[in-house]
This record gives sequence, structure tokens and C-alpha cells, in this order.
Amino acid sequence: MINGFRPRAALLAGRFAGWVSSTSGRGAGATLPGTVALRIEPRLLASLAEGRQVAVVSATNGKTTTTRMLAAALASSGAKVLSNTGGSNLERGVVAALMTDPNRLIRTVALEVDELALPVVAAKARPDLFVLGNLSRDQLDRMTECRVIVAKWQQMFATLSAHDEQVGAGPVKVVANADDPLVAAAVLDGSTNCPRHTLDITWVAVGQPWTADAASCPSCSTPWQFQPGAYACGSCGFSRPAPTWELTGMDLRGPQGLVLPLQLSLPGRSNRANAVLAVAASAVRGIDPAAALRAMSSMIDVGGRYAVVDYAGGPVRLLLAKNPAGWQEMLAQHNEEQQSDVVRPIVLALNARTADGQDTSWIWDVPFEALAGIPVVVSGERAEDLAVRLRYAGVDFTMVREPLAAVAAARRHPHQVVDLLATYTAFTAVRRHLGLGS
Amino acid sequence: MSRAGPSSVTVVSLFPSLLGTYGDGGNALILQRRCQWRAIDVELIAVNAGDAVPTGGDIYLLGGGEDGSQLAAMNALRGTAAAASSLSVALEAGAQMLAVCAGLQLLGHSFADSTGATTPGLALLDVTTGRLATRAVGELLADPDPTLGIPALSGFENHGGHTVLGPAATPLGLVRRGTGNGPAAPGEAVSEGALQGGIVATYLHGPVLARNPALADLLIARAMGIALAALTPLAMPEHDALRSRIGMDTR
Repeated sequence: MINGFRPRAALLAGRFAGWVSSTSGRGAGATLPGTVALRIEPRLLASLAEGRQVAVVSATNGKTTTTRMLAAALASSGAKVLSNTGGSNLERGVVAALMTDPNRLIRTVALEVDELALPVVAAKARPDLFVLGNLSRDQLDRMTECRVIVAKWQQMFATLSAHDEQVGAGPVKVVANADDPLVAAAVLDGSTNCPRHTLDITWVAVGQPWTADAASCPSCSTPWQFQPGAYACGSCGFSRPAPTWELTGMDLRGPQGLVLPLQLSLPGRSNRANAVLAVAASAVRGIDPAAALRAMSSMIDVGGRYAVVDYAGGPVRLLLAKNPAGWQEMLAQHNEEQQSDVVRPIVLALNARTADGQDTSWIWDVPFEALAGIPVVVSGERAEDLAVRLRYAGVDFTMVREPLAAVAAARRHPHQVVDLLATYTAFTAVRRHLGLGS
Repeated sequence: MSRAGPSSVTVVSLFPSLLGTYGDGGNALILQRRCQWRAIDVELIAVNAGDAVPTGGDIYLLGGGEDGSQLAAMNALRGTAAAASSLSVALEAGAQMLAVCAGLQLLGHSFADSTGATTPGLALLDVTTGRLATRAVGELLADPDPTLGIPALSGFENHGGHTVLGPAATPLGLVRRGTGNGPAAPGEAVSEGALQGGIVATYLHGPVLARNPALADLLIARAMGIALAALTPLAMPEHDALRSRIGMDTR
């Protein structure tokens, strides 16, 4: 048990709040214990993390899935793994997850952490492994421009390294996507292209199809002709680091000529990328890559994402994406599922509440042109914005306000699979209507 | 490339990869399609940083971007390609320009970034931009200058700029809801954006032409040297439905 009156009082109060919340059926059980406990003891995270081996995963897109995969890989050794599986990725959510094991019996921890919350969580939880996926524009009305996040991560690693040197701790380990220059710039010094400070970096090349936030060198801001997979700034010394792990087509490539076919139940390129990151990260922890991959291969649904459920006479696959890079990946995934003889209709559901981002301008960054020739139904509280966007994209569509009614309208014949791609609050509302929880 | 009369329009998108953070690329697509749907010849040219800026365009577009991109765009405009003088030649020859957010600020005398540092602008537009006390984020609704003959302007603003107009610029509109150019002098109405010669500058995203198709048509008509009313009307129920959904009148 954690020592001290305050931390103990905080744990008790937090757990009581969680119990009241869950028995009264008023939801929010994932973060409320953390919120209440932190109010009583703001330093609770440090106490809860002490003595544990903490890995943190952060990215604009894919952090929930990558964390789930990493946790599965770490558990393949037989270890118990603690993780914030509910997707609550701010400090209070992390605290709530760790509070479920207040005696710190579970030593292995894998945490999904919000990009902006990462510096605060890292300062307190002292992770020795960072897994960094990608950074792109995301709900700019309430989040932060992604170059600002790069600067905050740089500052975080400077502070952590200084502290580790002071106490004589080993270097912080980082597993980072070499193909995303914003991620690379967070850990590389632009002038030397060497790691900032004493970081021990494992480079993983898992692609970054989204290039719109890489118009200038993230290290010196000089405009460049960005080449995914081969970027190099002509002005400073910043360039793509050589990876030791790679996603190539349907294969994972690792050190010493390792090649493993990626047989995942989760669909799409973005999930193959998440898997390669997670395998590389678990290898840093000594997990055999083949065993790690086996452990994540049967994962079929992550917090409801990719779940296939029956509705209105056939299967509907639920896809969640919150920003243009995410929608681009999901459209690519939809395209991957198309067969020449059977087209798969798609329903797009757009809301613009706080959790979705209130500014819908980002839909103009999404390459909807690729949907030409495919049955499309636009839905959601801001279906009209999608209608205008698709008209200019030259894509035919119909409009049905309610996403599930839109699914029924999109299905051309019985048993046809329909993809439903939704923003956050539209996605959670659909899950509630289907009785899947929120 | 030159203003070839009423049948051809050249749209020049300036640094779309640097200044396109808020979906502003949509403005170029909307102008292009609205010309095509009327069988008006249209050419779309994207100018990247370091490329020469053509002087013969009819409509120039400058979008929004983060502080770093805004500075990179500023450096590119001042760079060896003499982009700034090309723009001023084009404007003097009667070209139209739509400048959004960071684009608006770049055209002025100077602008301040989030650290408070001031950067000189192109001084093609008589405005000066300082910092707002708190960032303006939310829906923005403005009544346009009545001489433009277009309905109320709507969009989403997300900026930290406090823009003050000099005597050569007039407001694009007056703010009904939102922040726009920011606090006005005592006794004066709060303005949104600026007009000067062929320049239409605004803080409206959406992108602005998706929310306000009449503004797109105004730019096209002006570029062709004809009255807005002389342009073939386009029946687009999607625009009417969107404006109605966000609480705007549709005419």
C-alpha cells in the first residue's frame, strides 16, 4: 500500500467516488476516481507509478490501438499488465487506471497518453519507454497546433534527461516513427541529426501518409519538398533517421533480417503500422517479436473501433476517426476492402460538438475524391457540411440525418457490408443506440 | 495568364502547403468548380515556396497557417523570387486576392506572433496586427459592406490577432457575433476583415467560400470584370442547406 495519510485518503475518496458513480449508473467511471483523488493529492501519480516499469504511447492517431497491442505483447511473457484500456488518456485517466492496483502488485504498465498531457504525465510517472507514433493537425479549435506539441516534447525530453543524468539513471528509451518528421524532430537535434540529450532511440518506419503538416522542416522551419520515407532538409542537418524496424506492405521487418507476415484481425494499413510500433516497443522490453505479434493478431475491436455488428439486415463496420489524417487512413482502409465485383457502401457521420472539434473546415483536407463511384450517404448533425464538400469533390451521395438510418439507406442488398465512418460523438451515439455502451 | 476577358480565370494558390492549416485549400477548389460549372475556362496554379509568383493571375489566394508556417511564407514572399513585387504588380493590374487569417496578417504592415515578436508584412493592405488578450475561437458572423451585394458572412475563427485598419482599408464587414478584427476604438463598431482595391481579407474559415458561396462568385465576377448579377446563377441546394443549418439566411 502507498504510504502517507494524504495519498491513502485520496485513494479512498477516489474509489468511493467511482463506486457511487457506477452504482448510481451515472457513467464517467473511467476518470472520476482519478479526478477526485488528484484533487486531494496532486502528487498521487508519482506515488502510484513508483517502482513500476511504465511505458507510454502517444500519437495523434492510433495511440489507443497501439497501447492495446503493446499491452497484449507484454502480457505474452506471462506478466500481468496494467493499462488505461478505457481510453482516458489525461492524467486523471492514468491515475484512475493505476488506482485499480493501489498496492502496485502489477509492475508492468502500458499507458496511452494524450499528446499534450504527455509532458505532465511523464514528469510524474517517470516512464522509461516512450512510443511515439505520429503528429498531425487535430481539432485545432480546442487542441494545439502540432508544431507546438513538437516543442513541448523537446522540452520534456530535455527535462527528463537532465534529471536522469543527475540521479545517474539509465537513458530513457524511445521507440519512434522515423517516417514522421514531426515525431523525429521531437527527439533529434536538427543541426547534428543526433538524438537530443541521452535518449536511446529505436527507429521504426511505419509510414505517415498524411503530409500536409510537413510542408516545412520541423527543425528549422525552412520550406522543403517533403518526401515521405526520404526527407532531408537542405538547410539544417535534419533528415530521416535509418530505421531498424519497418512496415513493408504486409510484412514486418526487424533487426538481423527478421521478416514476419502481419496477420492481424484488425484491418488496414494504419493498424499494421500500430502493430509494428508495438512489436518494436515490446522487443525493447525483451519480448520475442513473433510471440508479440501472435498476442495481438486476434484483437478484433478496440474500444468499439472496427467492431462489426448486425444492423438493418446486414453487417455494419464501425470506424472512428477524429481528424483529417485519421479520415484519410479510414478512407484508404475502406478502399482496401473494396472488391472489383462488390462495392462496399460507406456512411459518413459528422458532428461538431466540443469532442469532435467545432470547426468543420478540416473536411476539406480529406481526399473524398477517392469515393467517386461508391455509394455514399452523409449523416450526422453536420451532414450539410459533408454534402457541400462532396459536391465539390464530384462524389454523388444521399443525405440521411441519423447515422444508423443512413446505414439502412446505404445498403443496396441484404447482407451487404456497410462501413460507417464517424467523428467521436457520432460514433459514441451509434454505439449507444446499438446497445454497445458508449 | 493575363486577364483575357470574361471567358477565362486564372487562380493562383500561394504556398498552399504552408498556408492551408484550416482547410483553406477548399477555397481554390470552390473557385475552380464554380467556374467550371458555368463553362468559364479556369486554370489553377499552385505556387510553392521558392517558386516564382506569376504576375498574370486573376485571383490570388493566401490561406491560414501556424506561426512557423506564417513566418516561412513571409520569408518566401520576401525571398529571391521577388514574390512580393509580383503580387503588387498583379494587384495594380487589377487582380483579386482572397487572404484568410495568417494571409490577412501577412499582407499588412506588421504582425505579432504568439511570443509577441513583431514581423514586418508586405504592406499591400493598410492594416496592422497585434495580439488579442485571449485567442478568438468560435463561430463568427458578420454583416458585409453593403456595397458588395452579398448576404451575411459566416465562418469559424481561430486566431490571436488584433487587427487595426488604417485609412486606406475598409472593413469587409461588421461583427454580429464573434471577435473578427478584435476590440474597436470607443464608439466604433467591431469590424471583420478588410477590403482594399482587389484585396478581400478575412478571419473567416470554413473554408470561407464553402460557407459563403456568394463571396466566391463576387471574386469570379470581379476577376472577369463583370457585375456579380451578370454571373449565371448556380442552383446549389447543398449551400442553402448548410447556411440554414448553421443559422444563416440563405439568400
